[in-house]
Amino acid sequence: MTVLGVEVHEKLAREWEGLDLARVEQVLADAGIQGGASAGVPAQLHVVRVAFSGTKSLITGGDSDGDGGSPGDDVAAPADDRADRPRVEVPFEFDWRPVAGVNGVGSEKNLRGKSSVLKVIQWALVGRSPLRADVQQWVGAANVEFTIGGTAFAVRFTAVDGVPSGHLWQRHPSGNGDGAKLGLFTDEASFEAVMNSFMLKWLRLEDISVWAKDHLQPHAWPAYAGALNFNADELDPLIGNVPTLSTRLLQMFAGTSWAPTVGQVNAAVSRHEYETSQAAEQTKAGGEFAKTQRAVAASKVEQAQEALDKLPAAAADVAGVFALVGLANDTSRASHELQMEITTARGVLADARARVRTEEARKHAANEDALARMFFNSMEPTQCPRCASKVTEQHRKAEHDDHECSLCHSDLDLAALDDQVMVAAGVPDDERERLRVTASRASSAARTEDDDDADVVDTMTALEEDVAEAEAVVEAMEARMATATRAERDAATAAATAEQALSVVQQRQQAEINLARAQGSLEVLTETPTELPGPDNDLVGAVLKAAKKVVDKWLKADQDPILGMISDEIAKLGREFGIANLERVALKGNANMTVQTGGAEEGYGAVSGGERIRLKIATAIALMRVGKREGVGRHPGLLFIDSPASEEIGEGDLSQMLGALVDVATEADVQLFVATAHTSLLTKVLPPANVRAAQGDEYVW
Amino acid sequence: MTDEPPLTVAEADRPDATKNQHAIRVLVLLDTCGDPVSADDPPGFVKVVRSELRLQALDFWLRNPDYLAGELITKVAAGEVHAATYLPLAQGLLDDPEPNLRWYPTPKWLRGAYEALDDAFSMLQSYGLAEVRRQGSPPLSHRNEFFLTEEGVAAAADLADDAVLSWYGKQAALVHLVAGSDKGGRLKERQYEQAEYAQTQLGMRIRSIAPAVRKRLIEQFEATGVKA
Repeated sequence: MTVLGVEVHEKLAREWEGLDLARVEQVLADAGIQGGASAGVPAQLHVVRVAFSGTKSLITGGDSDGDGGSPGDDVAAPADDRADRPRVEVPFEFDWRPVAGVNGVGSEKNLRGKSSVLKVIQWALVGRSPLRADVQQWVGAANVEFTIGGTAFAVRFTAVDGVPSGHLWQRHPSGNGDGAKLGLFTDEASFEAVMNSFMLKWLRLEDISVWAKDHLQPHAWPAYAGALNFNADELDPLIGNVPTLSTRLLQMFAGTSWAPTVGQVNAAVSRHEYETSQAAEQTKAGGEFAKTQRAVAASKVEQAQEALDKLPAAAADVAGVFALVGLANDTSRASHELQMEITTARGVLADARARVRTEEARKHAANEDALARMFFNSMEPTQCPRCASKVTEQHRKAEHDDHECSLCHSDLDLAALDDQVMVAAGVPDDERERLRVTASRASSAARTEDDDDADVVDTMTALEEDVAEAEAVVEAMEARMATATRAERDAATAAATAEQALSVVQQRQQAEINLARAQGSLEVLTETPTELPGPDNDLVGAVLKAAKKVVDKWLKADQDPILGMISDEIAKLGREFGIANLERVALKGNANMTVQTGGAEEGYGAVSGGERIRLKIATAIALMRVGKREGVGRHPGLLFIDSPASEEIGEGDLSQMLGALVDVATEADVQLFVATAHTSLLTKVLPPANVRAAQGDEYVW
Repeated sequence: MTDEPPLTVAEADRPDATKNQHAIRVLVLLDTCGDPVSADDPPGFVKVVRSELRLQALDFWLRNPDYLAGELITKVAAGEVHAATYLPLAQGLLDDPEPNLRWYPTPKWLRGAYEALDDAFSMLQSYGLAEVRRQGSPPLSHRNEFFLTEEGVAAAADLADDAVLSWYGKQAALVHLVAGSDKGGRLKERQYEQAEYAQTQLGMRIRSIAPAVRKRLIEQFEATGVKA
């Protein structure tokens, strides 16, 4: 049971019926929130020795570049335009034992290594080098000794091409021997890790990691250490050098008891909100995608159903279809065969008719011949056509009485003569018979068909009967043909219809398959319950939000009095540092500050640069002084002030501020390192032991 | 009129004309187409056909009604005869059964359509109906002249009373109309102009030209406005 857990449970109990306290505690624990307060107790960090050595690589004749460059660039270094000049390797060794209070490092010219001394100390304490890369490579070994709350430690390492390798030591209280190794490092990363865990523990600092948008941004000892560093050109924010951390640093340095918890709750709330919104977005995005997919699949099902509905329902009678097709083929063949028969029958009919015509012609010719014979026979021959001798009366009488031809005197056929046919008896029998028959026909025709000789009539009748019969056959066949043609057409139509029906059945089968596939696709996409953050997630959110409200309130209650004291201290220090007419300062919980000078109130960001650097240093000192005085706070009591004199602050002002710092530092038991080009000022204000200064063109190391 | 050709007797099955029929045709042709005899001719004759070539040509038209119809159409087309009268006659020659029954295709010889006249003419001569007289003697060219006697004229008049045989007299009148007074050589040329006749091989029967003539007949019906 924690204080925070109980308070949060109490706040939520009304809204969340049956809420278990253990559940609340669990949520807080899961979020990495400690449920109790831990008031900060200052632990003093003092550097007692800084020693380093190595080899400088300098360009010859390059001693005239006192252009007042950036504070970090105060060591002679090759520039691109001098890259091809002859270089000289210069070994160096620096060893200094700073004291409590204000320590000064100075060189009358820039780029002589004064800032590097401060940076080597920071490298050793943080494990992360702020040195310029080429200068870092010059350093071959370093030994920085320090104390925390009186306990002595040392960081000793060698460096090859800038890569550190060494140990963190706890020194023997007597100062003899190496003491105990607390940590080992072989590169920058392990160096920083060792120092981080060591410093957090010994300085009683908390991890101040914050939730940055979508991830937990780790902030720990390097962030605190950064806040110990003051550069004349980095005056924002008021506390530290990272705006997003200034509030947290203020809370921590001020030593407010709930400060660590507030940081944990803030990170947990941000993280929870982020994860919830991410989950919701993913669910929404996933839901919309699935919705679109379902709509497409449903549309396909609809289309498939429509396609199926359009097809007429038909039974698949394949055997029936084949039977109909077979029947169509049979009737077609029968029709064709019948057509051939008709052609043959028509030929037979044509032949029969031709035979009738031939018989008619034959009959006609015979008839004409007989008539012509009768015509001539009725005449009396008058002369021989051969010799023209006249036919006498005697000849005519002999023909009648003696039956001999009146022209040639041949004997005549008596029987033929009875039939009015003149033919010689010597003529062959068949010729005589032919002549008699044709004569009888002619006479019968002449007697207008009263003859009873049926032979000719029979032949003609038979032929005409043939024609009639052939005509009947053709007629019957044509009737059958008409029937067969109808049957063929009907069968063909039936077969075509059946085949079409079969095709429809096949199309229906395909359409049904298509529909089944579409339905299968849709089923796969059936709406799955959206995994929205459930009630449990809501509870976590509610617990965290409630915890934030609680700890914010507690922190404010705890911090406000401290901030008041610090504000008063800042105003006092500011005036000591030379800010004229400074009436009042109000440090806010969010690390902002309002400054009232000459009746006018303005924000920290709005005041001049010279005033800002005074206020920023004053704030740090105030935090340390109040902490020391009240016994509440977490500031390590160490400050690095690099090149404070610039266009922002004149030598006189710096002198005044340094003087004030000396007094304050001693009183507050803090340690300051000031690097400046105003060497004479350092030697004037500080005791000689507190100063390492290079005169003229000399190097600090 | 129909596009269908009339039923005809197959050529191969057609009976040959008899000597008696031939004699009847010659008698009728001499009577109808013969010229009146002149003062230079022998006495006792009434009419004469002065060359066998002409007589054969006349007989060809008499026994081939399709060729005769063709000549009639030619005359109608030339405006020599009245279309309204002769186109129907030509149509009858082509389509009526009667002419077809009396179609006796003629063999073609070097001198054109030819069938020996001797047997038929001797019949006419034995009854004193006609006589043939030869003009000229070898090696000079000769020709036969066919004379019709008064008895022959009377016999031809008797034939006009016979129900069946009278047809020849009427048909010979058309032949006379077609032939006019052209000599035998000219008549042969005219028959040669009718393509089928010319194309027929020597000794083969001259084929029918009925389909072509029927086509020309239709054209003339249309050209003249006479109704079939």
